[in-house]
Amino acid sequence: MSGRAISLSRLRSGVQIILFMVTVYGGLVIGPYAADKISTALPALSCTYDQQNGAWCALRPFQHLSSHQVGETMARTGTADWALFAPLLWTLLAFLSFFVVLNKAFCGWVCPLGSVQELLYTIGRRLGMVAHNLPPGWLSGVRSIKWFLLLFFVFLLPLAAGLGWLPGAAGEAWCRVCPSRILTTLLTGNGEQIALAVGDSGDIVLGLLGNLLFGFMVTAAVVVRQPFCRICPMLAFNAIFKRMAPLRLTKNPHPHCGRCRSCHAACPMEIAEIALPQDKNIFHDDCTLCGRCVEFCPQDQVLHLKFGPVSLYRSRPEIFRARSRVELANGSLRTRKPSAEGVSHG
Amino acid sequence: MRAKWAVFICLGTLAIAAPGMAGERGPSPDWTPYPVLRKEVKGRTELRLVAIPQGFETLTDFPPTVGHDPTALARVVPVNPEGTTLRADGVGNYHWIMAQSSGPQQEYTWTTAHYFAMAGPSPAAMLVSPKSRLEIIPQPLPREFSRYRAGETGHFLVRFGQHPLPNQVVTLYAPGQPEERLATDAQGILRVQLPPFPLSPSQQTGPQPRHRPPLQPFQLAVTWPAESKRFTTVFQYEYGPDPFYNRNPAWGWLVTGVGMVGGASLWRSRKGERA
Repeated sequence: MSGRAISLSRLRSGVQIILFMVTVYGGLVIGPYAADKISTALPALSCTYDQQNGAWCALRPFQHLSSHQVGETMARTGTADWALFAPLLWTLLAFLSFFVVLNKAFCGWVCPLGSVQELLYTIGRRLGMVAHNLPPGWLSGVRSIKWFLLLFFVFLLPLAAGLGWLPGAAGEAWCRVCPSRILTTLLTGNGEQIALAVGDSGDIVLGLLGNLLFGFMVTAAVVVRQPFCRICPMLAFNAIFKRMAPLRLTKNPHPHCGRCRSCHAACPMEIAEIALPQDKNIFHDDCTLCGRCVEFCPQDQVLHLKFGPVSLYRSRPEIFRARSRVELANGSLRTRKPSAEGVSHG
Repeated sequence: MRAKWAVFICLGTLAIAAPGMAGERGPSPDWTPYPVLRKEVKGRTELRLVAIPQGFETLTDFPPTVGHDPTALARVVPVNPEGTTLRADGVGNYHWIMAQSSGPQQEYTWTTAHYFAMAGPSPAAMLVSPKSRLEIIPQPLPREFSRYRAGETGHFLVRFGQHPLPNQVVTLYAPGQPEERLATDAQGILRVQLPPFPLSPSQQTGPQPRHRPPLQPFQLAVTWPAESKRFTTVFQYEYGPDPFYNRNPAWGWLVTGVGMVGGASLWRSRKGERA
């Protein structure tokens, strides 16, 4: 790769824009019923509440299977056998077949909610807002929230609702809380989902949580990089199976690793492990494969985005220089005089 | 020859009587002159239809297909007086269900659709292909996780022998509502605004779970004379309360605003930070 450096960020932005249109408005192009079909094959795209989307999110079927299939049958028959859980496992396998190819790149390249948060952060940079990183002591706590949400909101609460232990709204507990439900429906001109559900106690509690989280995410994303992505159960889902994924981030440690920490500053998920001198845990649970760390590594061929053994994109000094002319590693624009690193803690 | 005439007369009588047959089995609805078949959903793979009038001897189930003629894959199920069960047989998504009684002077067709909540091909090809002479075709059917709702507009193609019927009068029937006469546009498309949903006193005062809102049937009926016959087709489906049933937009925006204030508390301008 000689000559003009290829901007991975530009390529990614283009892909994000196209896939945003497909996932949020795709039903207008591919027909109203195709979402069913696409979702069977690629079950992890947009929100099911968005009736104009091109395909929908896998987390909804998981909740429905836990609630209606497993929970309600267990409550009715008082038994639990292999056949009861089989549909859940088949859905999981379908989900995995998609993610074996794309895996965590879904988060960094496809997810419409991630794209909107990146856009909001860019707006914040252009407005000169001070960017925040999480306080160092908070990071490990915040990282564990996504696992809690995956376990409780996607599986256990729907199961408990199916068993009749919780109000029916808990049967799709995560969908009621997920900001994508409100965001994507608002983007299609549908104000129904932002209206607070006031049916029963479950509706009210989950509705309050969902609206608060959505409101917080929208304004926090202006100064904090991708605040919701850090706790998203989809990220946790991807992380479970990341070792199976051929698409991954790899590192050839360099003696200078750990000095500039530019890759760490570039990472929207604040993964400090990338900057360590060794190559352990580079492809972190929180990685969204956005590739910013690769672009902002000043060393030649240290960080790679690889598909199997093939290096798709690697760090190079000229790419680093080209990117650094436009913006700082943390996303702040060069046109304004930045503070120390353009980032404050707390 | 005598037997042939007997069959002829029987079929004719059944066909003429069909609109009034609803009361012969099951409760007699007072909101429509046509039979109302009641749906009982049995899990993801079974649908039981009850209160089927005597004029109908069979139900035809058209599953969704890709690359096949849906009529070739249609399954004909004999009507059971106690209730007729239709099974998805491994093919989910929307199925088109039809019952017909035909006589020398009239052909009566009752249709509905049912979503089997399992994977299946898109119903687009199945809906477009001809399944009877006179048809009312939803364009589109509500997807999974959606439904027709009071106050929203549904679109339907009305056609005879695959030709759209422009300016054709179609009657809308719904419980608790006076019948409404509507007309198709120049392309044979009917725009139907679903009528208000009559909530019971307990449904009005709640609390009601939103995830399983009440549903009630509605019917669209059209009649078209052709080939010395009177064709009548009824499409029956369900609709629910309006989109904001058990929802409060003002509280929603207010709570969202509180969340936004929380997120905005992180905002500081560079000027403020230097100060």
